[in-house]
Amino acid sequence: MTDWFPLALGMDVPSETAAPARLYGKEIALWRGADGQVHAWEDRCPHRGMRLSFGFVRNGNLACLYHGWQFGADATCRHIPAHPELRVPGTIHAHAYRAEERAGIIWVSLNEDASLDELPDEDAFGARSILVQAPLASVRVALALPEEGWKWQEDCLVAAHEPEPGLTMLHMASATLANRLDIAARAKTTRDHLEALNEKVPA
Amino acid sequence: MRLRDWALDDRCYAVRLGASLMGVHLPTITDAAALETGPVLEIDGGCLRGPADILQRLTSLPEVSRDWHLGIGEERRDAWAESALEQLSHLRRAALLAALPTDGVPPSVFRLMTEIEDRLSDDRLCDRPWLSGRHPGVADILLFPIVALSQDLEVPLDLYPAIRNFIRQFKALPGFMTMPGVPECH
Repeated sequence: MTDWFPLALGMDVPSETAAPARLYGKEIALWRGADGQVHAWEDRCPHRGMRLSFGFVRNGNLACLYHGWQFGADATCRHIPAHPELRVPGTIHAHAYRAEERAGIIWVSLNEDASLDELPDEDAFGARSILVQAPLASVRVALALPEEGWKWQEDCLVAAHEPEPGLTMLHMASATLANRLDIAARAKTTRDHLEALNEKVPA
Repeated sequence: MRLRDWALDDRCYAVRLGASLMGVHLPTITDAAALETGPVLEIDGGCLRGPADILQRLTSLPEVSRDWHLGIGEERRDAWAESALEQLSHLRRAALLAALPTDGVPPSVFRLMTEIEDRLSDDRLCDRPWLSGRHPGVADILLFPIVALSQDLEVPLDLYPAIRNFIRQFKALPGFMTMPGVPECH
């Protein structure tokens, strides 16, 4: 079983924005600072439990939409607007996971010791993240995806994760920038094929 | 000129939003009938119905920038967007007025969101930043309430990255306005 899960295309989390993701129902906030670095945290503010993916990125910090608590790239709380003079204790922090951007895809691991060797090391350009209404297990079988959850199909990198039981997000990246539209068209054909297959053989 | 409006109706919101983006002063009068009929624009002694026709009429007002008109040769998508808004509006009213909570997202909502996501995703790869082309237009104004208020139907937006991108860039437009259920951009 792999430690790394492909949660989104890099292009779908632009600089200074946050985006929601789910992994087997676990809510994860992805965000990117102005420096281009991508982060993956538990999607829950330690203050009042608000989803951090609703928040906004300012000055390299992710701020919660609810009360504006700001968390730095190291996940520690840097600023509490209601107490501007307070030196925030280091014990107040968001829960961070490991995040890596490879081949146009954002990979997240819940295991701190996960090896980067499991990830693709070629360059690729994100083409399409597409919802497939079928369980990951049947998508894996139909696409012959190996244990790592990703593979190259000629000029296209195919990876998948399961946001919730019965739904799969298929992420496809192209080896060349020029070919992204073709790959995106292929993603739609693949989705339609997999959903038709799933209707014939219900899980 | 006056809009017969129901503040919580998604189609009425599309018209108020469009007027605000185009810089048109549009007085409103609350009319509970608009919850069923959608917005009605009283103009030139007559009544104009349907959000697409009303928004098109607003674009022809002298104070509205020509940018809100489609460029030559650009595909018209207003009818498609209006039909999508009607679908969402119907589903949303059914969900909000339901006596008991429903179980999960209805398949028709998934179909609608998939159709929108496919279109926005292809546009993005073709360097077409808006549904209407290089500048936002009536089709974009009609689309925004659908995707923003899909939250009322508990659609998980992590499944639709191109829609998230559209919401983010739309909220950054000058003149953007909110309604209950559509928060401001930060």
